[in-house]
Amino acid sequence: MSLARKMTDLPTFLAYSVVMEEEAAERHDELADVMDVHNNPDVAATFRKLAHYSRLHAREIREQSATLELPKIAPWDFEWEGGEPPETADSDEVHYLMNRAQALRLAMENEQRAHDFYAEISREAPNAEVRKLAAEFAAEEREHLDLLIAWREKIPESEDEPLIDPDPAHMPE
Amino acid sequence: METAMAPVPPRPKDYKSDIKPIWCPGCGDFAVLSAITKALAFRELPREDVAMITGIGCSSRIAAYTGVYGFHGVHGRALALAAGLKAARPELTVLVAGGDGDGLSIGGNHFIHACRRNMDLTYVLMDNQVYGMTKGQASPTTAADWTRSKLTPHGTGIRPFQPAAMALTAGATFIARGFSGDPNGLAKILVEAIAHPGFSFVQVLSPCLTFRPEQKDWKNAVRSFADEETDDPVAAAARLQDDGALATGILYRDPRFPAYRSRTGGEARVADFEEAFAL
Amino acid sequence: MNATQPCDFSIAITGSGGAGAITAGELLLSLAGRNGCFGIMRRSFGPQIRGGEAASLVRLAHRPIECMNDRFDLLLALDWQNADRFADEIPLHADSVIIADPAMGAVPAVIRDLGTDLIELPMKSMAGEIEGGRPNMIALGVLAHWLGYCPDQAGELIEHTFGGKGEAIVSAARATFDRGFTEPLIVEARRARVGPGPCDAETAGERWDLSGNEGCGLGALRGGVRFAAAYPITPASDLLEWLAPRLEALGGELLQAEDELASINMVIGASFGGVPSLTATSGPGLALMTEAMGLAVAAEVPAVVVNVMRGGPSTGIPTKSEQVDLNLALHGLHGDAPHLVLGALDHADCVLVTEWGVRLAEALQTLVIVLTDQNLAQSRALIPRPAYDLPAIPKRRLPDSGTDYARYALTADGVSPMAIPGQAGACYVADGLEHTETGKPSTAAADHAAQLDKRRRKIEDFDYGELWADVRGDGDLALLTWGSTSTAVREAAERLRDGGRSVRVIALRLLLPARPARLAAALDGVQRVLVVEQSHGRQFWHYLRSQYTIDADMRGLARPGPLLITPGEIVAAVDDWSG
Repeated sequence: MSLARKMTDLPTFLAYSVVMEEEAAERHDELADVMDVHNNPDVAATFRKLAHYSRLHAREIREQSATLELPKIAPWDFEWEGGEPPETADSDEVHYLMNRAQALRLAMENEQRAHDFYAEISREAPNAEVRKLAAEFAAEEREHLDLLIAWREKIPESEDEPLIDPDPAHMPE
Repeated sequence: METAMAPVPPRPKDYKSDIKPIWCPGCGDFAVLSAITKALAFRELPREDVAMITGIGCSSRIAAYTGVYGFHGVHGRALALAAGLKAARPELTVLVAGGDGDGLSIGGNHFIHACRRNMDLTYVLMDNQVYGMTKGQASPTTAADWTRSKLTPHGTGIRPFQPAAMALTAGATFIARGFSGDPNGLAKILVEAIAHPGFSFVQVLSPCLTFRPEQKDWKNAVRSFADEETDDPVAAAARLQDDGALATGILYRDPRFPAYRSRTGGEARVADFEEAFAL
Repeated sequence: MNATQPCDFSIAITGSGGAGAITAGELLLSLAGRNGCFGIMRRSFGPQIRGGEAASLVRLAHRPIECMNDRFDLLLALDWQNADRFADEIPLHADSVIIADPAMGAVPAVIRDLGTDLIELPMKSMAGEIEGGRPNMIALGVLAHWLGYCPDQAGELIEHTFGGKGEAIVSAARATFDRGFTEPLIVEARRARVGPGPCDAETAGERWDLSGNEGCGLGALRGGVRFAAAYPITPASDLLEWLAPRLEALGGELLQAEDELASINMVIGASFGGVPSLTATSGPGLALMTEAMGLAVAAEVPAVVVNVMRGGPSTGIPTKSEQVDLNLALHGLHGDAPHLVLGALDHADCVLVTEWGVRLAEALQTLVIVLTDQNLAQSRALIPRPAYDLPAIPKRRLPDSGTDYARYALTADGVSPMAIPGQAGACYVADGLEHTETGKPSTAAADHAAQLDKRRRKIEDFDYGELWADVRGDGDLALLTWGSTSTAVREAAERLRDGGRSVRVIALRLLLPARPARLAAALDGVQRVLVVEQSHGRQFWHYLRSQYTIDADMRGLARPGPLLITPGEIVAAVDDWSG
């Protein structure tokens, strides 16, 4: 059974959504930190902003769930496809020399997956309230995606810039 | 009307320090850190009752990134530090972490004795089959034909260790393998490992994208154990000889061997021993 | 009544293949203790695990003594197997007596040629006449008579020692002892000589019977050690074995390690957890421990290593004594790593110095190496009950609760509050990497300078009080030494004083940090300094030259082991210099 069909009630759906947004926020913060440490402030700022959006969305969801009791689900009991929430960046693709365009491409891929996740739930969930809320969230993800597209258009860097550092690796310890 | 506030359960973030990791972007160790914090949060362990003991290497830096008590010791000796701490303070939750070089080369002797001694410790070995911090030499888990190190340009020509198989032979009573590409799965393994009353060995495949970029392919090759875990060491040994070293899950768990128990509660006084010297 | 003089009598008992020379020596010492004597007993062995040649070397006296004499007054040989191995260690003099069993062959020429008296006593056949009798109990009886001891005391001792093996063994031992005690040959021989008189239990006062290793163990427990890690090595293993059951009885623990690299790290881990911790080893093990000892210094974790020195270098002579790990203790840590090195001067000092070392490690959050040697560690001594006053030394400094905790905070005395796991709000990461005040790794010059200064300041500025050295006597000649050689030096000084020559004896306990001002004060008025040490490479001499300014003329008496420097040698060296 697809994950969408298992969203039988609002608390479960909200539990999944909140974790997805919070994990996305944490992952973006982690990436922002690593870019800070590796002296790529532009990309650090990019990820920082993305983390901020995710956190905002997470807070909204928490506020919406204030009156409900969300089920306590252990991190490994979430039945994400692929084991991880769809919005969390695939960290293989990051590099300390990546530019903002490449960072945004990553983010856009995540947002697309998040959107598709909500969209599927808005179609397939057996609960009407869930479908309605999922549709709203999907729309919100769509807005984010548009924001990111607009943002990317303003950036002069190319996504296809190769990631090559002529300096050799160094041994700190 | 005031209502009592339920205590807020700890969140994984609570177990992180505010020091930003120096690991390269894409390093598998980020996920290991995340998994550890999720496991600690799940068990709701007070931060001051947890200690993270590490050696030297990229993965050993993890002690600074967790917000619990920690000891960043010398190369290869984290398990000995941890054994002393656990013997003196058996009520603490003691985690040990390090890489494949730290743990299996210079630390090899302490590793096998730690498995045998079966103290209630959890040892997370982040295996990237290379010495990352010292710029890319072969480690004891590197394949014999890896030729990218200047120290061994023809490859080592030596078969790599199988850490999980070593742990089994040496007497570890909980053996698991995780993958940084599945931090939630790893978190679950760690919860079980910490709960296990004995020496828990968790090998984590954790790619080093700087020196072993080909390890990006691990995510396609890793599979989870189709069978259930076993408590039969013979079956576990056979499986480990055959699993291609990229199978994840809890491979072996045997709670029958009692964990090393610190003997506490003696009531004597030093003065009692002094009398024995008197003529 | 046999002619007697105040007791100061040295006896060697040799035998092999289970002849029981060692047991005889141990019983003799115990008997001496019950008869009000002071004494010291060493043992010497061949390399075999069992059945090898062995010798008990015992000196007994009416007054407290702490070292072996120059020569032996009586050699009792149960047999002569491989005895030439001991010839060097058992020098006799013209008035010495040899008691030997003629059935065991002729006295080796090297021993006979000293012109000593020989009493032939068929100890083996005498023992054979008694069911279950053993020659070493004949020997014990003989010696007890020679020393004028009360035979009833022996009865009690035999009961105490052999009681667990059954009535038959006890009566056999008693009968054999009595046979030796009353043997007419011996009675006659003793009467014909001036020999040692019995000691007086009343005037001897409260005494202890302990070995140096036991003393160190006791000092450790007194200092608060409740965790030890152990890897066996000669001659330190019995210190750890003494500790094992007692730590458990006190609610502590001893953990056997897989090697010395593990044991020192275990000590550091346990100490990080808040428990005063210790290990013991010898030269080869200390060498392995140097990296982690540096970790204790850098991370400021209290740690105590008792190093029982033996013959070096490398595997060396494991069962003999030298003072040759000083260099390693002082300089073996890589980097600039200030720490403490203490040395015990005698058996009672093993208790004092170990306790002191443990307390200093805790107060200063640093590494303390306590040096003893095989000579002290594995000899038993009957000594006045150790009584000393340690100055008040603070326990580990703990942080106040609350507010930002900085583990390596720069303080006036250099000692920072040390949080213990379990204390909320004070989590920190101890690190061998150089670090900031909060413990965060740092390569910054300012941090390195600040932390180096702090780690040195806390050790240099501490007031160690009067225990830094044992200083005695007066005069313009000083004997300067350390470790167990102090015992021979002090006796030499007594002899010189008895001969009208006054000398000052300065025996250092605190080797690191050096206290140049104190030594200068102790040497005030001294024109000549004789440096005495058991080291071929003159390690102490070079240490003195590098750490202190000594204006007086200096000479050295430096000899390697395995033969201990004797008081006579030192007196001769002084006489030689006075000419």
